[in-house]
Amino acid sequence: MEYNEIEKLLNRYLEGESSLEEEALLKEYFSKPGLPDYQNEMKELFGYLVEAKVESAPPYDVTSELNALIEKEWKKESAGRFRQVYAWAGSAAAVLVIAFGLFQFLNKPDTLAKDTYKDPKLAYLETKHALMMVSRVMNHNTAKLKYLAKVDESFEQVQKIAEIDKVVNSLKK
Amino acid sequence: MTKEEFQKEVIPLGDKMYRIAYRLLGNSESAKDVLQELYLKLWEKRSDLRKINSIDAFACTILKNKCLDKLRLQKPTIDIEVLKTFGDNPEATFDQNEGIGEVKKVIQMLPERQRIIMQMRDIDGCTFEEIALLADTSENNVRVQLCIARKWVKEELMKVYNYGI
Repeated sequence: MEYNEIEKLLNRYLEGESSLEEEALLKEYFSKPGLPDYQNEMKELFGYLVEAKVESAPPYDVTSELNALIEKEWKKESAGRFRQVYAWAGSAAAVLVIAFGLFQFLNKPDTLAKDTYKDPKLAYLETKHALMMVSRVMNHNTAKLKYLAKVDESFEQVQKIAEIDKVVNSLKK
Repeated sequence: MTKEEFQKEVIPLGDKMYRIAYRLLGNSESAKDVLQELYLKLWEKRSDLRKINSIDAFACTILKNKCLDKLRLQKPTIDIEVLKTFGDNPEATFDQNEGIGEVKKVIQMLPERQRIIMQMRDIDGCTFEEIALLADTSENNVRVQLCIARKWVKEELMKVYNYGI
């Protein structure tokens, strides 16, 4: 770098006008060995500033520590997201099941109480007809029940045989 | 901002942020804690980072508040007004083992505010915007303070090296 260029930069530095890049140039220039014997105090100053930066470096690997921290946070968050999706899917499934049940319940065809006849008079006649039919069948069948009475009578006759049995038994004794 | 973008754009600021925290707090354990808190906060806010002009300055503001909280906890009796400008003198614990060179000695003689501004700029590589945020002042004032400090240091060093004091 030209001598007067350095002079200009130094001036800007002292006025507080230099950029970080310009200051980096100055540090680089003044830490080179074999510089002419001038601005010795600035050589010392910039030499010290470069050295101090190295000395005050963090005592641990900041970048890898922070990367690890962020990886951990990221994993924690994705696990949370995963659980959230499951919880959401679970409640959605529950809602679907309930909705389906309700649908089935409300749409049940109610054949039990449905009228087949629109005219009440006709319905009455039909009912009467049906009941008459039932009663006719019942009467026809109960007529046959009278033979049961005969069975009863015969049974009474058999009882008399039991009497004979008793007499026979007493004779045996 | 995705995780990859965050790692590429925000994590590299960590070194400078650590240095600032160290300047303000004066010990590396606290600086490390505060740095971690800062990055958790930045990560939490990562969806907003794109909308921000300067992530550096944004991070600086959070960092400063975290440092102030930390200092309040460390020393509940200390005057808050002092904290608002700058924290303790980190040089007390700063490279204790090293023999103090002439330049360092001269810089140590600067008034505290000017000294920290000069250290933040010339050693830590902070921007004027960041220093202004940290020191609660304007960028212009930072330049003025820096100008005074640098000129004073140069003059003192000239005395040392030219007159052999």
